[in-house]
Amino acid sequence: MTDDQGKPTVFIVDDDPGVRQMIARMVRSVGLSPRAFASTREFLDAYDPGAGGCLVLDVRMPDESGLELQERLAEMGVAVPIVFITGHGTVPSSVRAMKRGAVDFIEKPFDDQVLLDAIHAALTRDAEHQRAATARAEAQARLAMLTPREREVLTQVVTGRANKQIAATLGIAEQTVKLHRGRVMSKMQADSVAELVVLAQLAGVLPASA
Amino acid sequence: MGSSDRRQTQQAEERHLLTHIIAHIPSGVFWKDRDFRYLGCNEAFARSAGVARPDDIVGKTDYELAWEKEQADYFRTCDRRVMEEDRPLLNIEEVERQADGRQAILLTSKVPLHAADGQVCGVLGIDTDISELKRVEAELRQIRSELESRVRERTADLARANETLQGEVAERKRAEEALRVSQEQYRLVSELTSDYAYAFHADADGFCRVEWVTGAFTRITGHDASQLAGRGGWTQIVHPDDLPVVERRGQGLFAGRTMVTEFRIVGRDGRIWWLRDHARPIWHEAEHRTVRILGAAQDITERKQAEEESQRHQAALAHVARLSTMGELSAQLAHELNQPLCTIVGNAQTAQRLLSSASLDREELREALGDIVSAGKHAGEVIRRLRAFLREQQPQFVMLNVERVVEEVADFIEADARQHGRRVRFAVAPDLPVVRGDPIQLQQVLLNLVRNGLEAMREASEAAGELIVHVRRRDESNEVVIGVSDTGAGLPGENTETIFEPFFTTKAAGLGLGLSISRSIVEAHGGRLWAESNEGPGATFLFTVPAIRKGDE
Repeated sequence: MTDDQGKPTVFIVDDDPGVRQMIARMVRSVGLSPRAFASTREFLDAYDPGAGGCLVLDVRMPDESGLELQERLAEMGVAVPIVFITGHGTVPSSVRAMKRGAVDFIEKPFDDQVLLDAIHAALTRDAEHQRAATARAEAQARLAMLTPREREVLTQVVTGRANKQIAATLGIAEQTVKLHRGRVMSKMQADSVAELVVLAQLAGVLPASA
Repeated sequence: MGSSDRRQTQQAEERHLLTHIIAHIPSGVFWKDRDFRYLGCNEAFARSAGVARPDDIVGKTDYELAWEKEQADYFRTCDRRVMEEDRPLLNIEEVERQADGRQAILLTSKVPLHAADGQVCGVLGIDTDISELKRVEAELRQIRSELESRVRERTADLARANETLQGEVAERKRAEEALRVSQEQYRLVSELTSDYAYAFHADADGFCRVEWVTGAFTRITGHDASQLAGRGGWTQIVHPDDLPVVERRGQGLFAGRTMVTEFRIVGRDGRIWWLRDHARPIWHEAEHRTVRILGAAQDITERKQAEEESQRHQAALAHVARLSTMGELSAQLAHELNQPLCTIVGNAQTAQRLLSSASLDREELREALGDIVSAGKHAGEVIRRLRAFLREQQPQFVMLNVERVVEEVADFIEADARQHGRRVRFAVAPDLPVVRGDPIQLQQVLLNLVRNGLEAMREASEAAGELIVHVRRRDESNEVVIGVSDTGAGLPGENTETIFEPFFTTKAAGLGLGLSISRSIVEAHGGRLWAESNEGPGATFLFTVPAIRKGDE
């Protein structure tokens, strides 16, 4: 997320001290907050998965390569966006990195703007993740407020069925359906069925692709 | 006096003589008549017969005398025989008991007596006591037999001693032979494994005297053995750089330790000999010091020279091996230069950003510039190392046999081919002229072309293709042509010259310096390096080296 002063954190992992410090300085110069590490191990020891931010990562390093770290983070379920930098630049590496969700793959020596743009994109992506996570949490919180019957009604409503049909399926009076429906909309804070659908997806009641 | 007086006197004298003879003859004399009665005898016989006087025997028979009846019978028989046959019985040995009881051995002779008419009238007998004789005879026989037996013994002893002696002689001969064989073996071993051997005598004050040195020493070094004498006298011929080694050797020997050392000796003609010396001290317990030094030295000059050459060659080959893998080198190089470059560009751009910001952070700017300088210097270091590395390429021109140059790296080429899963074939013409060049550099070019060929073949699908290294002479241009043919993808496009430009590379990892460096080397040799497409798949890279023209040397 952000550091104490509210600036987003840019994590930097590169075994070359000159490059490491240069990138940190570059990041500071545009008002972001850098944290630099010499190895993936040092990074993992210090990184808090919930913290967010983005990662500038060298591909080829003595102990564990950047690509291996990418795999490891994915396994851990950590979604921090990664910008790869490399002094070697082999095509297969870059393809792999991108397929696995990297934001960018930049060869050294690079233009500062190229790196900063990539960092910006990564932080944007990170912000989106945060937002999505928040929205999900919110939707789930609202869902938790529904009674079991209201839950059932919700499930029926988001599939686009009419009250009459719902009444028939659930074996209750149409009027009762209307009543539940009203409470569902209210508790879920949805103004329309479309909104309700989105919320249901966020909460995990419906599969994401509807 | 009348004749009859004379005759009487004569007869009396004869009778007297006869009586004298009979009386004193050492034998017993007796005579008997036809009736076997004694008519007379001498004293000796009388004694033996046991009568006091000869006169007492007259008229007696043998049966009335000292002897036993059987003896008397015997006598009578003899007497009768003698008288009847009228023949003497001479030298009869008989045993007779004497009057004193003694059994004597007598030698008896009996002769018939004749009367005037020639008729036998009696018998005359002579008994000689040969007991003593016999005894002596027996004694003599005894002595002789003893003597003989002693002689036999002695002879046997002598024979035995002789045998023993012969045995010892044979033994000695065997030992001598064994010694001879052993000496011969030692000499053989010594000659084959060491070049000279020596023995020194060491005094209490460290003064060494030569006891002996085998002749090979002089033959090898040209120095006289007498020069070795004295305290450390022989160190005069030791190479100055090796004096510490020899010093340590001396200390060890005087402390009683066997020392094996290697050092150089300067021969009389100034030539250097490498020796491996094995010296053993003889320690005297009582005097608590080394008293003798025995040793042998082996000429290892050739071996040392071969070792040194091998080391040089190894170093050169390692050097060439390093160079031939330009791919790995340049990737490393690219990375090493890239980091500082990245740092420089990044910091410079950040510095620009800082300068154009509203609030100039001086400290940050200063640090950025400082880092730029550091990175620049670091890059300079990398370049410097590369330059030094490339500078080792100063060519050393010598007369060369190209065939040998190729042979020396043939193993390496085959190993490289094996690693790439390929076979390599060598086609070297037999009658190549001598060329002038730096063998290490030419090998570097060859290895570079071989490596390029193998990598080109790596990408090709032709599984059975082999790499060919061919060398032949080209008389019209007086040069030797070396070529490396592969079955790879072949040359790119029509313009084949671009591949020789620096930094041209089709490889993902590589600076592309191999061919441009190779071309520089070949051109420095006065030759050319170029590439041709094969009729079949792949390409051939060729380079020439000018041959030495007669008169150019």
